[in-house]
This record gives sequence, structure tokens and C-alpha cells, in this order.
Amino acid sequence: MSETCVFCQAAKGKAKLEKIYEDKEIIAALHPRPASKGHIIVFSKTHYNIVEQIPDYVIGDIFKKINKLSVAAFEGVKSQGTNIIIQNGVAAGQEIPHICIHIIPRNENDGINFQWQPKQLTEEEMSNVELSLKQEAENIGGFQKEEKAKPIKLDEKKPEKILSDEENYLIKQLNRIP
Amino acid sequence: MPEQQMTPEQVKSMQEKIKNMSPEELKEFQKKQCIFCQIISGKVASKKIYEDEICMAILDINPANPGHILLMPKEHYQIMPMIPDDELAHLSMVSKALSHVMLKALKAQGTTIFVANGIAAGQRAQHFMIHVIPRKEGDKLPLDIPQTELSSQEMSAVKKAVEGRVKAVLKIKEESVKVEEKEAEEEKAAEVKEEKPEKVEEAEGKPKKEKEKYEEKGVKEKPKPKKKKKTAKKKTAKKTAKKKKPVKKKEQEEEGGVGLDDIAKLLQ
Repeated sequence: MSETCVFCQAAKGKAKLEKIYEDKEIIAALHPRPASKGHIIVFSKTHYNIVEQIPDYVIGDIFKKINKLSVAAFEGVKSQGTNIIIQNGVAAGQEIPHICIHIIPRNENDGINFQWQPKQLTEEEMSNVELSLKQEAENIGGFQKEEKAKPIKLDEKKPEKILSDEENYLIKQLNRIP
Repeated sequence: MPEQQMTPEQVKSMQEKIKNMSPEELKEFQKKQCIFCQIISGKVASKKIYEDEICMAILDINPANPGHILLMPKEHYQIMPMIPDDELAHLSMVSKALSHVMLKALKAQGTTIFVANGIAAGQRAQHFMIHVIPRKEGDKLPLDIPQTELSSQEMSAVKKAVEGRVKAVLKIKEESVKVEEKEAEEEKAAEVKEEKPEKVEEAEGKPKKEKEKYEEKGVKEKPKPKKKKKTAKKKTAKKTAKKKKPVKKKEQEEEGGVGLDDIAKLLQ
């Protein structure tokens, strides 16, 4: 994946991007074809296709930085507001299969319109949706807020040693028999 | 928002009243006016999908697509920069989980996670929220991000401006840490002179910055009886906020301005 993925290439420094921030986790760069002046894309150096693949502690960290970066963009271009958009999946307009977050500085009458027309749902449709979402949402929780330490494989070497000792012992025994 | 009919005089007096409010009173006032705060406190009915001690997710009654969820912090914040880091991190984790819920329960083909900060960005409510919208191919929602061409001069000008602010935002953060450290030292020195009851409280494990601050100030300005100290605490707490996040504060003020107008509009 990483050979063909633009963002992975960028993380390795192999793609041209107007970087404005970089740390060990993420890169923030100006969008080459911005929706507005100061449009920033933020992506992780690790390859994740969609939001669901990002570990909890990573997405938490990304959002903290997004918050700071959006303030920087807001002030840098003296805008009146910001949009933060994640297109998660092709159906949502995601073009590159490496999740990326857009920070778009906004001004009144800037010609951008994200205002959707509300859909009219019947009471029944609404409660059907509510029910199925609620059922599934019961599983939410147990967030992994910190990276788990990698398990130290204690018992991997020991048996080997015991075995080899045993083997040696057995070999000795075998050697003794004749 | 509940529709209220007010005469122009009433609107005017209301605007005057708002102008004369202290930041604390203003926050209270905004909370009272905020429909989402009322939803969170259970005074207004909603279709709740998820709730924990920090946030709550409900169905949008004017959904972009069926299943459109609004995730909001229980505390009243107008815009994202006002939210403390920990709460924001929690919100991001919940929105990820909600997105996953949509993919599973509604068989959505994708999700859009959308935040609007400020009226210019399309923010309608005075309460910060994250929209999580289930998507289907061909649903024709106007959420495609437009693309424009900028000249390389324009690009580098923007880069320079934004990069400068990024550094400033981060630098300010570092400075505030230093300020805090200094104050901690001063506070330690002050503590020696401070009366004992204060110390006991400190030892009980409430080493909050605000507290440190007010103790420090209390000592600096001459020790005051307890009652008065409380006000000193409030004032210094405000100061802390200003010192720590001057950048954010600035934005808050600007956004706050917009907020007032909006409240006034809604009241009309």
C-alpha cells in the first residue's frame, strides 16, 4: 500500500507538499488545490484506510493537534470560522485511501456551501433508525486511551532453555549407554 | 430555540443587559438560552443514541441523511478551541465509535464527520457539536470539498502566514508551561508563610492551578480572610486563562461577539 499511497510517500518525504507542521505521528500541509486560502490537510504517518482503523489514542491525539492547527489557520488567514471535515469512505467523497482530515478556513459569502437540505422522515422511519443505532451503540466504551505496552514474551525463551538442557541431558544419557 | 416574541424595546434592553454581563454570567445566560444544554439536562426530549459523563449523542431532527447524529459535550462550549484537550480527545473517540456504529447498524457505505466553527462556517447552534453523517453512494449531499487553483505566490504567502501562527500557537504553549513552573515555585515559597489550614488542603490532594494562583496572589497582596479570597480566586483564574491561551482567548472573544448577535437575532 505504502508504495502507491500518496500520503505514505509524503510521510517518507518523497512527495512534494507544502508542509506546515510535522511530528512523529502526523503531517499537516496546505492542500495543493484548496477549497479556500489556508485549507490544511492533516494525515497520520501510519497508513489507515478509514477512521475505524485508527487506534483511539491516536485519533485523540490527532484531534488535539487539529484543534491547535485550526486556530493557526483561522488566525493565519484571518478567517471568520473553520470547517473540519473527515470524508470517511468512498461514498463520503474520500479520494485517497489514506484517511485525511481537512481544515477549511471560512468566510461569509466565500462561495462554499456545505449546507444540506434536511430530509423529512416519518416518525416510524426515525424511530427505526434510532432503535438500530441505539442497539449497536450499547457496545461503545472501553476506549483505549493509551498505547498498550508490547507484551514481553517471557515464557518464550525459557522452555527452549529447559528443552535444550533436557536435550543435553538426554544426549548425555544416550552417550552413556554404549 | 424557542420562539419568543419581543418588542424592540425589550430586545434593546436585553442587548444592554447582555453587554453588561460578566463572563460568568454570560456563560450562564448562554447555557439557559441553549436548546442543546436543555436537551442534555433532559428538559427537552430527544432521541438519545449514546451518553456518558462527558458527552451525549442524539439524532438530528433535521437530518442530512437518516441516522445523522449530533455528538456534543455536556459542558456548554461554543466552538472547538474552547474545549479542553481531554474532552476533545474523548469526543473524537466517541465519534469514531459512532461512525463504526453507523457502518454496522445502518449498513452505511461511509460517514462524514463534520464540524463547523463559527456562523461563517455554517454553525447554527451555539453549542459545539460534531456531526456524524451516514453516507450512501449517490446521496448527493453538498459535502464534497471544492477545489480551486492558487498561484504559487499566493500559496507561499498563505504558507508563511499559517506556518507563523502554527509556531506561535505552539510557542505560547511552551511559555505558559514556564509561567506555570515559575508560579509553582513562587507558590512554594509563599506556602511557607501561609497559614496552616491552607497547607492541609493542599496536602489533601487539590493542587489545582487556580488554587495555587489564588494562594500566590493572596500572599502577594497581603493575606485576606477566606470569603474575600474566593473572589480573588475567580479573578486570578481568569488571568490564568488569559496567560495560557492568549490565542484561543482572542478567538473566543471574536466568536463571542458573533454569539451575542445571534442570541439577539434569535430573540427577535
